[in-house]
Amino acid sequence: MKKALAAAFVCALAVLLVYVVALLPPMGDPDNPTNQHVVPRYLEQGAQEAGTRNIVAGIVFNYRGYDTMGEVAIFSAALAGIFAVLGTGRRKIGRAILDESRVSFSFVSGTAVVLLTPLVMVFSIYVILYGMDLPGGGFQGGATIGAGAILFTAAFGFCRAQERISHRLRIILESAAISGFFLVGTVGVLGGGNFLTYMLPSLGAGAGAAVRTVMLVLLQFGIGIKVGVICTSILFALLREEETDDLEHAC
Amino acid sequence: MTWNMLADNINYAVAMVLFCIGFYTVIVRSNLIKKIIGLMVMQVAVFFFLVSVGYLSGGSAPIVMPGEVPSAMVNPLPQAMILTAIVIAVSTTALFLSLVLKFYSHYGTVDMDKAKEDQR
Repeated sequence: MKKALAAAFVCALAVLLVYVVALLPPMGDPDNPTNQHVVPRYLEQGAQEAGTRNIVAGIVFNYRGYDTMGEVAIFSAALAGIFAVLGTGRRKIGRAILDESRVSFSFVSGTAVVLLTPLVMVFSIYVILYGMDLPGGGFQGGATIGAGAILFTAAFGFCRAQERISHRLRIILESAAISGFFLVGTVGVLGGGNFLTYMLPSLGAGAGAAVRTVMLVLLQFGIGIKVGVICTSILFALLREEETDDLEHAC
Repeated sequence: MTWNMLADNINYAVAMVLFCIGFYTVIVRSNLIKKIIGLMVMQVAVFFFLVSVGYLSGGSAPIVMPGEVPSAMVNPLPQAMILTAIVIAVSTTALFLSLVLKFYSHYGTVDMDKAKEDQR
């Protein structure tokens, strides 16, 4: 009865929504309102104004840098929530789900991961550095770093991974990333412009563009490190099972 | 006339159907993991809808290269918004899952109805 009622309600909602979206302007039409308002300016002048050939990166880090900063704060808030619910990792744990697996450590997979992990890290740095001119950027590179950490954890177990990427290191990296974002934004204010605008008129056009590129690279790296650390921290927090004071069998 | 318009906007319609599937899962299932999966399906539907809104027929990627015409590029604004929204979706989903872990360690089940029965 409850299910039938819910199904009827959801079907009515689906009919209504599909009818409404069918009345929207046809998809892919250049004359659509969504492609008219501010978007032509982004596409035509974004390369000069934001200093990035990849317009998406220009929007994320320059035109709408405030939004990105707020989103960085949301990651921190979500991670703080996870730590508050599951424990910070300062106390030792008795066991992790992964380390109780029946499958013993495989030499082949361990060697493969040892060979692959540096390549994954180099590739993530490549993606971050080329994010301004090619598809890529801080978010994608950070997700690649997180994938590398997950690969290492899956092959070597939670205890060894947590030794390598300690809680203290993760806290330092994350704080450096978020405070670096704020500091780079403040440089624009010191130069006489707005927050996160990279305006340094006193330097002249050539040097100003160079400073802007350096700041963009710093921001991309900050976001990349932030996302990578968040992925790793979420993984470790979800893998932690029992906190213990018995230090002999703990890791 | 509506059928022709629906054929033009088939991406939007699929996104709405996907949204409703996720919404049904959230309403009906009492298993909290399945509720989270439903929420994620709803999120993906919204991402799909917004990226489709920025599509331009025959458009190229919004990367300024010599010889590319700016008016022939797809809309970069929804892409930039969705890029950050995806990472936020990951972190909020992890927060949901950590709450479910606490729920499980307290009640011994991830099913809301069973937990309610055990309370009685």
